[in-house]
Amino acid sequence: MVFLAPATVIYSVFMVYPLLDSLRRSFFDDDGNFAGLDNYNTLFGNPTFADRFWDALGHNFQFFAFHMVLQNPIGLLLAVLLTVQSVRGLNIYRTIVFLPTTLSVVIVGFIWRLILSPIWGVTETVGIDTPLLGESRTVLPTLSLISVWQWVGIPMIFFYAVLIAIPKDLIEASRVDGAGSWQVFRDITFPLILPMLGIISILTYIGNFNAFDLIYQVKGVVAGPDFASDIMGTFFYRTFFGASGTTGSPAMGATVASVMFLIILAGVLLYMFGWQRRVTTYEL
Amino acid sequence: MSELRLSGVSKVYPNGVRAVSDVDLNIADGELLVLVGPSGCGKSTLLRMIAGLEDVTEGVVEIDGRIVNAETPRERDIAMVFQNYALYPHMTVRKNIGYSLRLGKVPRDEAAQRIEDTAALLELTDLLDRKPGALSGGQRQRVAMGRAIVRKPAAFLMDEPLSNLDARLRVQMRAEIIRLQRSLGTTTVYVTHDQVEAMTMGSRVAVLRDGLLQQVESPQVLYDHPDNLFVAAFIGSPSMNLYQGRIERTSTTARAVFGAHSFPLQDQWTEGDGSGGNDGREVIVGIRPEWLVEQTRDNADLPSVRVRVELVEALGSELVAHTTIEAAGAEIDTPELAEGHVSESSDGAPCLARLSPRSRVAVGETIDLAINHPSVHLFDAETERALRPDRDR
Ligand SMILES: Nc1ncnc2c1ncn2[C@@H]1O[C@H](COP(=O)(O)OP(=O)(O)O)[C@@H](O)[C@H]1O
Ligand SMILES: [Mg+2]
Repeated sequence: MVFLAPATVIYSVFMVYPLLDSLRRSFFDDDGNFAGLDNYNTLFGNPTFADRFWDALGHNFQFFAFHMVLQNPIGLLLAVLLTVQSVRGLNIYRTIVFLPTTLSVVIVGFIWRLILSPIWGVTETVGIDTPLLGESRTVLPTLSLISVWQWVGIPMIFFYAVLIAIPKDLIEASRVDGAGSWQVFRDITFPLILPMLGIISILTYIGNFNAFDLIYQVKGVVAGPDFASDIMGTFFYRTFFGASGTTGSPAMGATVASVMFLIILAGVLLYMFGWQRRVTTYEL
Repeated sequence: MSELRLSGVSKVYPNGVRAVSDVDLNIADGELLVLVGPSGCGKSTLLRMIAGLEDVTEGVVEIDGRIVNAETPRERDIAMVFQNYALYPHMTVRKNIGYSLRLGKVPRDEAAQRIEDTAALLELTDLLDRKPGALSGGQRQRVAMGRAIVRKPAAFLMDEPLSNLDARLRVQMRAEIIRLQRSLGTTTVYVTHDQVEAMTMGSRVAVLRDGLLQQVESPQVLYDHPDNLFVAAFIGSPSMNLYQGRIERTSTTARAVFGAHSFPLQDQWTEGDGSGGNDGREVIVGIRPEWLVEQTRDNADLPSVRVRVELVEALGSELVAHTTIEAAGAEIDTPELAEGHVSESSDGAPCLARLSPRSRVAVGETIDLAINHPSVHLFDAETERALRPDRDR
């Protein structure tokens, strides 16, 4: 316990305290007077806030869905391909796929803005004449895909680490038992990487609520056009600091932050009790 | 139930390692063949080629006359037991055993019945709903066996299936496997690096060294008539004493001379074409530790060797004397064979003797040991092949 004390103190000061303070501030107004649930009533009752809030939350879930449907399966597929022994230069592929994760979001956003620019981007040459980042219909999927492109290396490396830890014996035993490649994957490999799938999903979930930088970089805090790329992060930023003429409200910002915290917490609890308890990790 | 036939089978791995070279081997229907050799000699590779887990570089693998080189493991219908059991950790014992049946689309009722029968045979019935993680080593081993048995495959391939068990369980499971194999009558190739296990289990034993098949014979023939120096040194425990020597012949006598000692050879060695082809021939002389006995008045007429006792192991049933003998030891470049010997000192080569437990030998003493055997093994020093009077005189 004595040895844990310094870590506990540091953790409390830098993590728990700000969190609790932010929760506390959501019950006070900007002048520091106790306000009860007023801020929450405003957030959910006042259309200027509520509409934005529900929009942003919806966008967050879309953003999340894109990552779950594309990033993680593609990451898994790449990881499986990396374990195929007969392919030459595997390390090179691994590095290439992982490279974007090491780039700053500022650079990624910049690169993709150039690539997708209607004026001198490459989209027109491949026959896309909509400004993908400029239309409300396409902006969120496009940003999601950029993010998927950037981060797909993470699930790939995680899955890869688990895959190479599966003893070759197991795979061979199943092949001798009569399994083809697909059956080996379905019956042996997949069940053994399921725990990692859970971990990656929850990390994706958490990461998606913290996804602010890409949208901020590409679309700014107003998350245009017409708030079509607005997510909780940008919504919080505008609420707290204010943007384009409106003044920010620390109290309302704290309220948004608290709600975000609760949403993330709900996801984590769901993972811990709904998933982790049911999915066993096996010693290999 | 099937016959396996390997013809000229070789394996070269992509990295250039030649793990198996030109192996010819027939395994008859229902036979239990043991494949033995020091680790790294290519046993697993050979087995995996039969299973279809490894491509055959050269040669032909046949099952019941059908060439299976290009067939996948599933098409070959062969079951394999792995050294680490390779049980599916996320499946219960029942599912582990039944997995092949599920893949083979065996009707549910029949599959359930076969799983039950197999479990009963291996005394696994109470464990059917456990996962492998909750089983002991011996139980896991039996599940691995069950997974093979339930399939009623053309053949069993077992790759050192007992090497992870403790000694007592190993002996027990050995007997169990022999019993199961006999009652099922399934063609089996059993791989081990342990020559004692090989000798106790196989009706025929194939000795492999550096990917080359050395000799395929019954345990007794391997022990009595090793074809070459390697088999001689590998089979038997403790292993054979081997010394550099030479054949000295006259018209009426022949002897094998090693160091300060000699052993009279059978009459056949003295006959011949008179050219003296074997006179002075460089040989390696092999003497089994169990041939050596204390020299007494009763056996004073036997040829003997003089040794100095370095260490005595009293095992109760026998007494193993580690001694040094005035002769030059013969080197075999297989490290495992050297174990148990006293390291060679400048004044002689190690000599092991299995003596009667009541022998009175003391460390530091110099004693005479009689060679209580009508012959010694002789190997050509160059080719390391066994010399037989009928063939090589
Ligand atoms: N996948 C592989 N790639 C390259 N060399 C291998 C491979 N598997 C085994 N070997 C080599 O082939 C030789 C025989 O190996 P193995 O068949 O496993 O021997 P054993 O089972 O008798 O111990 C060894 O030298 C080993 O290093
Ligand atoms: Mg092996």
